[in-house]
Amino acid sequence: MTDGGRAMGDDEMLQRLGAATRAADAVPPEVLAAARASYVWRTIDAELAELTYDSSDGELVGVRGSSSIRSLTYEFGDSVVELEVDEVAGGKRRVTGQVAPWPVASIELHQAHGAEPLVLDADEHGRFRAEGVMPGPFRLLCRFTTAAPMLLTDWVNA
Amino acid sequence: MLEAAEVSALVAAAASGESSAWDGLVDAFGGLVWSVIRGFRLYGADASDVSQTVWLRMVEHIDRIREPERAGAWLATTARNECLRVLRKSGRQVAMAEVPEPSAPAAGGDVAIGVMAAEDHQAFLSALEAVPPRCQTLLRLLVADPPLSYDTIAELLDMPKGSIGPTRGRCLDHLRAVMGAVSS
Repeated sequence: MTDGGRAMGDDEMLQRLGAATRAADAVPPEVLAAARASYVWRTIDAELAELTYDSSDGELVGVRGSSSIRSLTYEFGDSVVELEVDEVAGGKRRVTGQVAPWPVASIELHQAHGAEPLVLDADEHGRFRAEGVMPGPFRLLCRFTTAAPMLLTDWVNA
Repeated sequence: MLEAAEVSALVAAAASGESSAWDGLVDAFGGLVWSVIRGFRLYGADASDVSQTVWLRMVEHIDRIREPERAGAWLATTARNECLRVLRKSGRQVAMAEVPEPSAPAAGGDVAIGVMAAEDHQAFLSALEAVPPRCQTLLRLLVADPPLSYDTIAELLDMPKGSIGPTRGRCLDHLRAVMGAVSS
């Protein structure tokens, strides 16, 4: 279907490229469905601890250290959550961490790809460990023995 | 396409518990988030995990977004950051270099329409995968829907706004060169 070989200008190239991406590489329906379903995770009565440090942000391109462990720090006010995420056999993740300073009653680990939250205990220093975490987005919901409000870490993609 | 005021209204409604407003935001911007992700050349589970991370974050940040009318830019920026993390983790190159001129310009700079039928989307997508990574990212952002401003694109790609135009031209020359090579 030739058209005499006329040159295609920039604007038309871009238009056709846009049409091509929308027709043949559009967002898959299941990705949109997952995005809509994300709304059920909304938690309105917890304080949101923001990610303040991610060891994967500073790595040199193409350099893999001897350890695959990723360190994360979240903070809200005086509360600090420090995590280490390690990839283990079978592609799952091990998450170890510490919540400070308020005494922890329990921790829920929410996984985007997990059917149920993992319920974790913490020791007297607020340290905990979770095995068999699915790869993908996860977060923690921490409950305290004091009257301190629940603490939620921001979702992170592990 | 939504006006800024409509976007703000959807954000406010979703922040106050209206799930239909949330669905409206996903419908409006789901494709935009996907364009950013594909522009950074993520596929499969990597791509869908980044998308889900972005939207899950949005759920918790919905009542504290500084400029609700710019929710699209917030989503695109969050997607960009998460894409870079995935790329770094897998040791893939994060292309930040300037885009060079194509070394083999298409004959006469022409791309005969006969190279691809008007509907041959696959030819365009295949050609897109063969241009420099920086061009793949820029071109995907330039055709994103709803459109991103040059200001936003400049921030996303950490490049001066004034160089978007010239780089756009160079990248389309790369695309022509690939498609011209295919046609000959």
